[in-house]
Amino acid sequence: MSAQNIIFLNLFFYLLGFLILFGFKSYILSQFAGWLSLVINVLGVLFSLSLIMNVTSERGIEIPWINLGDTVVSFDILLNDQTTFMYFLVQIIAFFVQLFSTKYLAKDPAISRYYAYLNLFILSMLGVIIAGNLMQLYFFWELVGFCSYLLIGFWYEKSAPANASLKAFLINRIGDAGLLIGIFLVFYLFKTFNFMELRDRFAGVSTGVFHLNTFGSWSAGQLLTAAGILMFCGAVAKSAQFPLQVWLPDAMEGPTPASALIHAATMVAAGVFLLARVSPILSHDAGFVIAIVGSFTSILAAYSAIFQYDIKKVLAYSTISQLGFMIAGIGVGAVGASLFHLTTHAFFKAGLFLSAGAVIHHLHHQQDMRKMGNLQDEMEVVFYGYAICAASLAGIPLFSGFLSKDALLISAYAYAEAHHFSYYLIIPVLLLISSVMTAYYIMRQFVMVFLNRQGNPIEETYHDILSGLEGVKKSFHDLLTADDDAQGDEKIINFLQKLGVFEISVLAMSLASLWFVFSASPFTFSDVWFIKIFGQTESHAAWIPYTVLGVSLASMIASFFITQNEIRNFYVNSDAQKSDSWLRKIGLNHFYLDYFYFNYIRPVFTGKLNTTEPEPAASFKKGLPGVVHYADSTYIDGITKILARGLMFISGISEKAERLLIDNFVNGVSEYARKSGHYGRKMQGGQIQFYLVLMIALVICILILKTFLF
Amino acid sequence: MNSGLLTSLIFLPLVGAGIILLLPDVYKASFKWINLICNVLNLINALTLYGSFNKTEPSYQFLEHYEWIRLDIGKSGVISIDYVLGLDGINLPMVILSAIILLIGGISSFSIVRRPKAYYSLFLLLCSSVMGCFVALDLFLFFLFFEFMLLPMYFLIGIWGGENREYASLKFIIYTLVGSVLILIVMIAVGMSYTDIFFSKEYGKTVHTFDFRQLKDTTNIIKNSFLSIDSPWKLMGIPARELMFVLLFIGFGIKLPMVPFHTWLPDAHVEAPTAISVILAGVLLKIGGYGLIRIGYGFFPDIAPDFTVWVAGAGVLSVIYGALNALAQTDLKKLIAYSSVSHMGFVLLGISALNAEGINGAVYQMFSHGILSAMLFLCAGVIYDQTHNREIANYRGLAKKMPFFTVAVSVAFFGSLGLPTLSGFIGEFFSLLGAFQSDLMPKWMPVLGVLGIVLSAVYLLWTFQKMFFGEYYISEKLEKDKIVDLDRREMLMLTVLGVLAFLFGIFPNLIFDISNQTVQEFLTRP
Amino acid sequence: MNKHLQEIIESTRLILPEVILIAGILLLTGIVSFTKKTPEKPKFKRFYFYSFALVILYYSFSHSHYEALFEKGDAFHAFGDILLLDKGGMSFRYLIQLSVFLFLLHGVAFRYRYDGEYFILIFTAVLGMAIMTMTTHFMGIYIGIELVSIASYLLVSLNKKKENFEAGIKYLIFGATSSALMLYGISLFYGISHTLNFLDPLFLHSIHFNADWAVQSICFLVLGGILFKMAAAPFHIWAPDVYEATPAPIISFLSYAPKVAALLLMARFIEALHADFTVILSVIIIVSLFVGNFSALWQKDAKRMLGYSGIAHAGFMLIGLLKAGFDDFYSAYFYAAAYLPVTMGAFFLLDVFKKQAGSYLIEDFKGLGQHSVILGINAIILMVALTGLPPTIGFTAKLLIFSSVADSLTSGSSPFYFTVLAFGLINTAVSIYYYLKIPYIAVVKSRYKTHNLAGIPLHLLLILTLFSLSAILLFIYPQYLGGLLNNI
Repeated sequence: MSAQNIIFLNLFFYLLGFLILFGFKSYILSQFAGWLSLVINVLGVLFSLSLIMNVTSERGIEIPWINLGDTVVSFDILLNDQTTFMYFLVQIIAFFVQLFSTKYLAKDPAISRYYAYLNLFILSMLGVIIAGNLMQLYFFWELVGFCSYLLIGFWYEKSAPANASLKAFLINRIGDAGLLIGIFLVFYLFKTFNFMELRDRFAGVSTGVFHLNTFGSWSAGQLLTAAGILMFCGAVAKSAQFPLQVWLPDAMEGPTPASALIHAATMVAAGVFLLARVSPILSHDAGFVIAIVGSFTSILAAYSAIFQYDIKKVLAYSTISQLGFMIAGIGVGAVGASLFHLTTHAFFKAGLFLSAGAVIHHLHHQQDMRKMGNLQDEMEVVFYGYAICAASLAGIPLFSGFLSKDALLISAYAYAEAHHFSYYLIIPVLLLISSVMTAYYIMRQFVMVFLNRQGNPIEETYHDILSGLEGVKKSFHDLLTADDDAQGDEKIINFLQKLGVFEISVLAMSLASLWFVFSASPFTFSDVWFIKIFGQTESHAAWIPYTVLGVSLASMIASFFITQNEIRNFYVNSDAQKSDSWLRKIGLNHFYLDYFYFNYIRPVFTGKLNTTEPEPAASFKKGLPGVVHYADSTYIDGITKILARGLMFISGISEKAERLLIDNFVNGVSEYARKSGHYGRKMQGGQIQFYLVLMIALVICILILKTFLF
Repeated sequence: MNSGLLTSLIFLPLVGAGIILLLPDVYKASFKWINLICNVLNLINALTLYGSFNKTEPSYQFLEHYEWIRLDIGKSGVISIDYVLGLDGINLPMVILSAIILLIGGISSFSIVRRPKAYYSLFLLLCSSVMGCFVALDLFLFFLFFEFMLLPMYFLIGIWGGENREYASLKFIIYTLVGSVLILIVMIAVGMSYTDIFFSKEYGKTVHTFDFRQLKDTTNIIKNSFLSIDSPWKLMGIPARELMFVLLFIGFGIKLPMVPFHTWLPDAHVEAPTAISVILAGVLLKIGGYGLIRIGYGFFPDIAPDFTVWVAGAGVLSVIYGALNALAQTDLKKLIAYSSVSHMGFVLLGISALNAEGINGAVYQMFSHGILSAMLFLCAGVIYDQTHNREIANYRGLAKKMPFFTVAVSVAFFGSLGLPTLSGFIGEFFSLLGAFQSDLMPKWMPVLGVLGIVLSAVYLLWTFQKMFFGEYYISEKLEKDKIVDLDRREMLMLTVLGVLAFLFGIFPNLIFDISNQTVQEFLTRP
Repeated sequence: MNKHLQEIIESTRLILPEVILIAGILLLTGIVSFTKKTPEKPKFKRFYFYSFALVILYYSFSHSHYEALFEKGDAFHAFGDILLLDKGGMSFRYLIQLSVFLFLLHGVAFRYRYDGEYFILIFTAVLGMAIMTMTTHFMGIYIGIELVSIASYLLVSLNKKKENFEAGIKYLIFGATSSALMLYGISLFYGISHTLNFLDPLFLHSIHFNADWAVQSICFLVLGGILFKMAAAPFHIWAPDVYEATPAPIISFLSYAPKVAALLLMARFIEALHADFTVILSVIIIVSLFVGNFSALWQKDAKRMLGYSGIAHAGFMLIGLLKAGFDDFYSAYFYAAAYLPVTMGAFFLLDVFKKQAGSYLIEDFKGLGQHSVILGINAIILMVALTGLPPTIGFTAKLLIFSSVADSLTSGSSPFYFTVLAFGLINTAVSIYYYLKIPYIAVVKSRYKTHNLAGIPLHLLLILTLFSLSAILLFIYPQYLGGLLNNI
């Protein structure tokens, strides 16, 4: 099968899955929804593997789609390593997420709808990945946003998910508006949407083969920067960057596995993917803006993550922070490193989310971390899995996060170095601080959620790490040895029974977060096959990873103690929040960004809201739309009314004048007729004469008009 | 050449109307079926035309040309009015759209019980004039059908409308009449200034023609006439040709509707019965856009570029202004009406760009808006039929009770807000793309247009959330306390439209292939 | 002397159809005089029969006689230069004959019990109009107009009701004043040119020696009499009351026939003088349109409303006489011809409504269109035709009218053309409001009273449909009207 057939068949299966699961509602189907979906997904993974085999060099496939004379937009499939790898990545993570969901949502009556959405999501996400041109990318980009909307609002009967889904979609729309304009601008400049052609034409610009369109006083370079920044707007919204990141924490109202897939691993990374696709035409200035925004977001979110209590919120802020890393990576030109971090992050963050999901499920939808704890024995496998993923996030050697994050840090440093530091240094510094904070908050979560609340901390930690490693080794060994054992089948079944789908999913994610998946050496990213493929700027700042590691470890230790203290405080004094410092408040409320939007931006549209009441139905009446509508009904429509009224008024006058003339005339005549018998010649003056005079006067008027005026 | 297909598009409904009028009232149950049959036949006819349309041929096809009026008006020549029908890439999509929407409107009319004879005969008259308007290639003929639409519409709103129907129907007719008076002026001016050179020789007199094929050609302008290119005639400093363009712009703008001439639309929509709203939004508004392309830009290609900023400005204004107004609405139907204003703004934006993307996009946007707005109004009708109330605030959590309805509404809403895979996206994307590529207008205009897309998401999703999410609740004030999901008829209509929305959202070439050649020729005209 | 006698005999032979008309009138008078009036057994049917016979006779004679005559030449003079026989006048006489025929049809269809005098007066008026259409001599004009006027006064007030009397008096007084003005103008003309025929070269020659403003003023005085017959502002004041009071068939006839005869006369006058009447006409047109349309907006009585509408239509017709670009008054003539089925149909329609509703009040028409769909449809068509919308002849007529003024716009630069055009268009848009009120109320509103309405007699609907059908058919085939008018 050719690559294009593979892709289309694969997409078709997902579409079919969506249609079947969405279109037919029956009890039986809802029982098998998950498994049907999984089958499709497994097929998809197989397809993607064959695609990886199939694609050896970069090429594009064009299928006629839209033809408008000079403007031809094909349905392009861009096949290269990026594509095939992401293609695989999405589906493999989706597989485990779906597997996880079979248990997590087993009791939900709308489970088939859930799987339908997931199928649609995977379909759209794959669409983003294979898209060979900007329009097509935008096409699927919107669709993934739509799926995200559907999944966040999956429990639509509750108000919080419904609100969160609306917020997510609208904020994404704002970003997408920027992206759309960016796309238009790119098309204006290059006369094409196609990525490969864009790259070629951009290359042609420097050699003078191709000339960019310009307009007004803008130079081509400025326009290119503008286009880059505008397209970045799309990524800002989708990948939750400052200042549009506020939707992502709210998006946690959706089902946790969906959050793992969409709002941690795949969709939010689409922004990074988009930027990677257009990176060849990003100008230096645009790159700098992107890098600054990314690193700034990273540190903001990391700071906020430190103070959260909700288990999913911590992870959400962490996601924002890590996305900031990737974005910054794109900004500094380290596309390979960014994509590498995207990949590692996808696995470990999905793992973390799935673990969180397992915990939440275990605790019957308790999400406050302060009320957790003591889970390390209750949920052993999840605990190990979580530990691995967390370590990967924290950037500890032997785990994938170490490799990818340090690749990014080094690239950022190299970028600053290449520009002779000065203010460029701010990027690596911010990222560095951010990664230290990362270590801090993930340790905090680890302590709060899993660790036993009593006991010697250092010993605990030691044991934890040791037993964690052992557990992993053991499970791994079990898996490996299962086959060549005589009672293999039974053993696997036993193992599966013991593990359950939660554990399998979490373990799979954590396994993928180990170093050997990506690199032969656990300590340096230079051996990472991934980066070799995707290209990497040379760097020689080998001291950075270790410095970061050192500081991170220190912060983790600090975190351990501080967190223990925090938990104690929580139990002793439940009014602790009252004495909160402003530092803490800022973190908890994420720099009051939401507050700002709610109280200053939103009133523009809705007017001042009375927050104590439930939202009034006609809230838009008070804001700008209300004003506009008032103007519309009062003035614009009013003009019509005034016109109509004016016409009626004039006609009233005309009619009255006529009536007056005629009525009086009639009266006069009848009077005349009545009196004529009695009084004969008495009727001297009176009305008839008057009206005759009037008529003659009119005649004379017209004469005068004629004679003297014209 | 004279295949008669186009004629039958116009006259079949007329025959149907005649049959309904002649049938005694005892057969009143059959009226809706007669209506349906006529519309189905028209749809088949339209699809046949689509199938046999030659996509590589830019000029008119299926031409039907009969001499009609040769009025010798003494010394100033002969007025020649012909019965010319034809299709090209711009009106074929409109014909197909009309056939679809009129059929849907016919099905939707099944719920009409009051005075079916009058209703269906007027309905078929409307069908006939709509079709005529789109296929006519003679300005006089076009105007005849254009005007003739007013009357059925006036009575359809006036008799079967809501409480305030008198006001709405009157406002509708006065507004539209003002628009058509403006067009009439242009028609008179054009009729005086253009001549058919070939026939003039034959008659030995100046033959004043209204044939689009002659009017497109600026060489047919009589020297030193009112509309000659170098006409010295001016009104308040505006040269004659520019003035005519402005008149057309406003005349069709009223129909479109374009801000600030839009205020008839919300009233008309709110009062009109569902089927008529569907047709009004789905088809009648398109005549404004179609007329502007065909007549405004077709006859005055030399003037059009100078007015791009104005047309595009009006488009952008409509987009933003309509959206802001839609935001402030509490009445579902009014909201949809204002969203129509907003979405038709993209048509203006696309047309004004004067490039392939823009004009094709505008045609596409018209087509797509026809389908989506029809869906929106049908959805509003579903709710209204059950509770006789359209206040958004009176409903909550309908998704639980009406799952199919929810799906239909979400398709319509997301289609309208431009979600890819639905037809709205393609239309808006290309209109905006065209506008952005055009050097005739400043770039901030399409940029503001993009803002309109954001706003449309706000009002549509906000409404969607209010009405369909949350706990199920219906205001106690409403008549019915029980709400049921779509019945089979509603399901059929909404499914068909929904599938079409997807079809045209995924395969835009179904329309672009047709319109492209004509638009290319349109743009390269000297 | 012999020569004069010879000429009189020759001339009489030339106007043979009119002579027959006169003979018919005399015969009718005789019959009326010697018929005993018996209120219990009215003889109106007999008179209808005679009248039909007379009008058909008149028509067929004029047809055969004049057609034959005009094969010999284009124009003939009779009685010195008092009468001028040409094709244009003939066409207009056809229109007048048709309107008489329709009047009779209207009357007989509704069984209006007219005494014999009515018919005599009608035919006298017809004779007057016939003279108006074939004269360019001020003497002839005056005789024609007075014949028509006096007959009209009597027709209006013959009913012996108070309203009729009032209306008749009013009509008379204004008519007399207008005639006085006109006579004054004529005498002034005679004073400066010593001739009474405005086609006389001497006349043209001599008026060129006079100041333009003086000539124009005199013209306006003369036109006063003609405009009075057209009910154009400011000579319109009689119209609404007369329309309201007079029985429908008569006013239907009086609203049409004198108007077109006067139109032709005016067209000839303007054409002959080669003077610029733009300003005067524009003012008259604008005032007529304004008064007609805007006052009609408020009317509750349908007949009265048609009265105002008639004023507005007079304004529209006059637009066709604004002469600059078009070298002929084709559009005005076309309008005059197109106006026939429309306005007389409208009066017929009102009578059908009245038969059902009991009054001419628009409010009372409620639901009648629902009761009889054919009536409703006819109401829509006729009112649409009056508004001037397609697909009716009213539209074609307006189109030509506006075309002519728009054409004048290009050649002349007078702001008046533009004002007239704009005003005419605005008025078209305004007028739809009150015209459509009738079908709207008839079709849309339901009747309060639910008691059974009598069915409308089939023959009424048939005639009504004939009117509206002709309004539509003439739209589709305007060539027929065009053929009639191309003679002019």
